Amino acid sequence: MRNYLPPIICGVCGVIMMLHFFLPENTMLYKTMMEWVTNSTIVVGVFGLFIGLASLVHNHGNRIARRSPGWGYSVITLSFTAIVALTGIISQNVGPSVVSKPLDKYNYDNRKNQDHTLITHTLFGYKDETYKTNLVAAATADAPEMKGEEITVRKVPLFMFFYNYVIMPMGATTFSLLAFYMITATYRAMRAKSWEASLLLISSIIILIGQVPIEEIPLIGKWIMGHAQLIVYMSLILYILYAAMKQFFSRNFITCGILSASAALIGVIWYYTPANVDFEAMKSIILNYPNNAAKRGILIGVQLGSLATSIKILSGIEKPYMGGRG
Amino acid sequence: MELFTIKSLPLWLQYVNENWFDLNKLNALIGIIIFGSLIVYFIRRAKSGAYLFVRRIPGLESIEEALGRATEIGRPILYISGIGGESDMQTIAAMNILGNVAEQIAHYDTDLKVPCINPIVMTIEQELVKQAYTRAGRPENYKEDCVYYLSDNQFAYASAVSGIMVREKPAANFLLGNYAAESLIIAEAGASTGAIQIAGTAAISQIPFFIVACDYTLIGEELFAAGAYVSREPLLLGSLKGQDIAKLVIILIMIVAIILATVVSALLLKDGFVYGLSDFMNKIFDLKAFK
Repeated sequence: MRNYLPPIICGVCGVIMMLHFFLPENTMLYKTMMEWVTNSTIVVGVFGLFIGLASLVHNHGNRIARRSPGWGYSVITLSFTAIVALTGIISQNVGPSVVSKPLDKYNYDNRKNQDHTLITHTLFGYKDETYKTNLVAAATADAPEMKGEEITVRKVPLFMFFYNYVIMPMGATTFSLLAFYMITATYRAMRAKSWEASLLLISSIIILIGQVPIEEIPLIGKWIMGHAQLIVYMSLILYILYAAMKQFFSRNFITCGILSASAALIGVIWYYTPANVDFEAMKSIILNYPNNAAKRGILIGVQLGSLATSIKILSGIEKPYMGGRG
Repeated sequence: MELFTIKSLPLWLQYVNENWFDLNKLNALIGIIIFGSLIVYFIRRAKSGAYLFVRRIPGLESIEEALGRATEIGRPILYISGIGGESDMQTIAAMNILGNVAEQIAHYDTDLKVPCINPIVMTIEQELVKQAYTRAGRPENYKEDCVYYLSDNQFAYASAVSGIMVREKPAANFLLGNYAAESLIIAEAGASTGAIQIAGTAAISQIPFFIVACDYTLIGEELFAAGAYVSREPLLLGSLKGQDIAKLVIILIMIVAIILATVVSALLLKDGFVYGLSDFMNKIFDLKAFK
């Protein structure tokens, strides 16, 4: 029974979910099933949370008990897990008081104005920012608070303080590390080690120049933009001719001939390229055609792979939920 | 076209469309049936013992090399199955590979570390690894805390994984599954430690990051093929073959559709058989074809 029941449950639930996809969206059955799925996910998620917490406590507790290297960090992790959990449980009225000042520029009733003041509560008081924005941002503003014309004092829940001033800034810090990682990764990628890598390098340079405001560079910016085609095509032709010459001296005459013919073909393409095609247009061509085609090719493969994996799981050929294959 | 209007349908079909089956999704159902049948057919063929050729995937060939290296230098292996939940197809594919990798690790008697972002995924992976050690005949080598939970916050998880990479210097990192902005943070941290990195994702925006920062990258569908490829089980290889044939069918349909669309556009056709066929092909891929 232990071996048969889980695949049966998995298969039945999978088929039900597949049938749900084909139901018309405004029917009662569709909504009821959606509600059932949402509720089930919440219930399972809550149990999962306890399992995760148990694993965290077990793992870090062991490190503290064994005095493993860096066990002090485990103490901090467990302490803050307890503190943040407590702040979520205690009353919403417990927390630092912050002052909201009158909002002169916020026009709650007349949203066409689109000129709003957003108050950001900080540990050191408040900060207001007046900005022009669209209605989506306006909806996120603290509307009832902003309707008032007087100075108000309100409590900000302690949990929100932790979330806004500890978790969010730390997440943003980690995210901003990406800028540095991107530079090192780009450096590694942009090396013309082979013919394919050279193509990658050339297309990435075109896209890079197409993305940045080259015209703003003093003295040479306008010249570069005016001679985009000359720069790109000449670089390509010279590079291919250089490769052809290397092949000639290595006595690979056929490869040399193919490369020389490619250089001539690029010259012909250059001749027929309209004069108004600049870096931005070239960037759009690269992104919209070869890049998009490759992306769609990958997507088709991914969807077929997903379909095959689903069939294998629904038919019980693969049973990851039971620890492996069937 | 008259064919694709709800009002032109018989009354009983209109009733079905309103209450039981969204006819706009009929094309999806037909697609599932056709491609599903192809996959099932090749699975059955594989079951009957037919030889199925599967092309070489360098990223997966290198798994053994990575495990061997970790064993030689006595450092752990880090396996990260992305930030997706238990219902994410990429996570499921990553879990399938974990089962096979863990089985090989059990043979080599090397340390395995699987930090998780999702508690449910963690529970499933614990069971997977335990079963893999049992299959390998080394249940005593399984450590209860080798699969553990870190945090469900994306960047907290990325920081924690980077920390593990820098402190414990694993010899091999497996980054398989669904990744988002944290992919490059994790992959670069791993690259800085000199570990062999095998990555794989179907998240198109993250594939370039993995390609530049990892030694081997499984692109898109290769991630889903990996479980079958590594295990070499005929049943699973059959599904791979089915996928390939399904792709061939799609390519043929695309070629026909491109030729038809080009002819319609070049000859400025507004009606007739070719125009009708082109319009039909356009609409059979549209999930809102019935107006």
